[in-house]
Amino acid sequence: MKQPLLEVDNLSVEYMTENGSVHAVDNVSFTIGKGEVFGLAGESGSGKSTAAMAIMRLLQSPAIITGGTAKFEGQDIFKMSEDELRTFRWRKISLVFQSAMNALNPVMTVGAQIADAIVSHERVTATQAMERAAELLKLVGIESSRITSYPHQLSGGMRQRVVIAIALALKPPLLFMDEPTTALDVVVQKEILQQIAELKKELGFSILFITHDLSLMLEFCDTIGILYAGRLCEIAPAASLLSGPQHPYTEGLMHSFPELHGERHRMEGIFGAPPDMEHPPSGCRFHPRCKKRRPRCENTLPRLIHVGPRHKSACLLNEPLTAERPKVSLFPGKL
Amino acid sequence: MSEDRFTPADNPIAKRVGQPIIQVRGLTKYFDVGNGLRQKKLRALADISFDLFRGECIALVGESGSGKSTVLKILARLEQPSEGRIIFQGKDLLRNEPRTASLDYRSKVQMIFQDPFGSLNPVHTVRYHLARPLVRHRRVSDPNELEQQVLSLLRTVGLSPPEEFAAKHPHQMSGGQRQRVAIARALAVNPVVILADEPISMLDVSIRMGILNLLHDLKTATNVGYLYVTHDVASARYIADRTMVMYAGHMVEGGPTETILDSPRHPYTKLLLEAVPDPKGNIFRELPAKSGHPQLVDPPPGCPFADRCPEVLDVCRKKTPEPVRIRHKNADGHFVRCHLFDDEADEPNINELSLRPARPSHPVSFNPPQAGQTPSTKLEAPHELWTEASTKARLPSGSSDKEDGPDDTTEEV
Repeated sequence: MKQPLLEVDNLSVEYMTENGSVHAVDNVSFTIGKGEVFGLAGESGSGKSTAAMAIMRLLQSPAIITGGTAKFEGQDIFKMSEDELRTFRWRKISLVFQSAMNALNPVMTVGAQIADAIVSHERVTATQAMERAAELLKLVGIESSRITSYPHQLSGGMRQRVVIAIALALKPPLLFMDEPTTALDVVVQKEILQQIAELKKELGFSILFITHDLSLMLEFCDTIGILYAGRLCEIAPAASLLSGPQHPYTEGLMHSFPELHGERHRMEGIFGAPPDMEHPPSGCRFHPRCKKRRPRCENTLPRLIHVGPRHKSACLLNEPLTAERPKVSLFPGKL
Repeated sequence: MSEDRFTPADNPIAKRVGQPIIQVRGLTKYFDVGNGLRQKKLRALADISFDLFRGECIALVGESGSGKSTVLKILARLEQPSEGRIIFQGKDLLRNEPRTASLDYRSKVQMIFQDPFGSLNPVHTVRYHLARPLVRHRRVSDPNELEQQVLSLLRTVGLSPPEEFAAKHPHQMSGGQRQRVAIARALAVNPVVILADEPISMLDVSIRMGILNLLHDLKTATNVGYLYVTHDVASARYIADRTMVMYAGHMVEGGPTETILDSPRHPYTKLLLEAVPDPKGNIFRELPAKSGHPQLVDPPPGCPFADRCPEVLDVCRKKTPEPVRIRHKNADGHFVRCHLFDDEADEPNINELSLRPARPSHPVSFNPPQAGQTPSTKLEAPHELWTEASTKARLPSGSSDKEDGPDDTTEEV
């Protein structure tokens, strides 16, 4: 087992709204090992970005962290002072924002923006910083002559590469990537992911990868956590998730992405709509949309329990030793 | 539970009964760009031709900027084409209605937009959105009938209880429900064609299949024809009978969806399919070509993909390739515009697995393969239909042949 780099334990985040508090992230726990790619998948509003922002302590009011710990190399991030945070952020964890189009400053050259990240964290001269910026550009596959280009002179894919170069500027051991390729065409998306994978091999960093696209995630990540309404409902290595999802929501998600190969058959997706987070359903958050629900699901909150090696699921159907437990195979095999 | 309703592998030939609803021939669109001093033209569409039949779904796939949405906008008469013809139910649309579309055309061709948050008016109820087209197109005679129609539309798209939904405003519904209202609005006037512009890309992943299934079921129930624009090849595979791949305003390949995806011919199609995320795939598998942007303003001559193409020939930079019919099992109307397939016109004994197919020697009467050649049991039954369909689906008819040649069959009907 890899040594954990980041340990998140029972993280809870609430948004204080006029109508009361909204549990955006509810008791989420996971670990990311060295060199691991951990994926957080979920629909919009499931709390995946909020969780990442909370770990970096970037949340702003009305969002507050109401519980849990997040330890980076054993150090509790939530207990850091502002000064400690300054040295921690970007040097230890950096962030690739969702929309490359808007993440860059339109009136600064891309070189200046990369150098900015270096200068504000390290004691280097402007010339040295620019030299490193040129190297970083080369690293992400852009000619270093582009250092004087403005964002509007670059294509969407190149801008996303620049954002990645900024994230890599201080060689952090962990990168958060929040939907890094969502607005891009598939060919560009694939190229960028390949680039990230190669850089990861070369530099050995870990990634927290956030997306709603499960097929992309299955291809790219080692371990995947599925979020629904702020709660983790399943966490497993990508391979076991693909071969045997245990939570009905994951199973439903698997039936929501048409395949490119094999026989065409009708897929049902998941009926109903994602929950209103101001009034989340009682019991298991997923029960109103679940095809396998039992009466018990309406008032019992399922725990995340082991259903296989490194595979956890939060579904009452998987909880052993209960009188009501229906006869379902733990490993129903293929979908 | 309802597997029996879905027959995605419906024989595309069987569907092409009668004449096509829409025939597009040589559609070309230039946009004016640049400032007043230096006028430039951006070529958004170049020589697009295809037929759409009733009860058929054609997917237009391609990356952003490939012109797929421009095709829809022109068919919805929101844009005027620069060149080309649109034959709607046998009549030349641009000649009969040169400036704006008639009420009749607008009732027969409806559009579903990408963003259900922007396409519904926030100050009006669902009832208003659905009643308006019914009144405008005089589909009802009294208020009672109007209400019944509105409720029945809501039932059709699976919004129940309909009375409750009719009174709602857009902000009271989820994205999927809004998109269902947009679909109901398109259906209100019984269209024969629905133009769907990325109808699921803004929706949450878990509800996308519900919308796709609804579109498919409506197709089966009402025999409406779809033009489905998407960048998501997997969803095109799910819903579309035929798929057309677009690149830089060109239709580079087209044919039955399964055929296109299982045996793509054009280097761009291969690249596109290779890049689609595959859960079982390997991230390090190298792509056959690099990403890049085609030059749309003052485009160079030749194939638009030549700059990026791994198999580029000299001729590719000089001459735009003409559509070439591919002849193999299940090829029904499969065409590709690529010079790699130019010189294979009369090669006999085409192997099914051969990547270099030939053009049929008699392009007009493309008969089912004879015994000894590629056998195809599936396609033999509807002989006449098959011939007729392939004649019509023979894309080059309007576009590649010279204008003085015998025209397509439609106008004489």
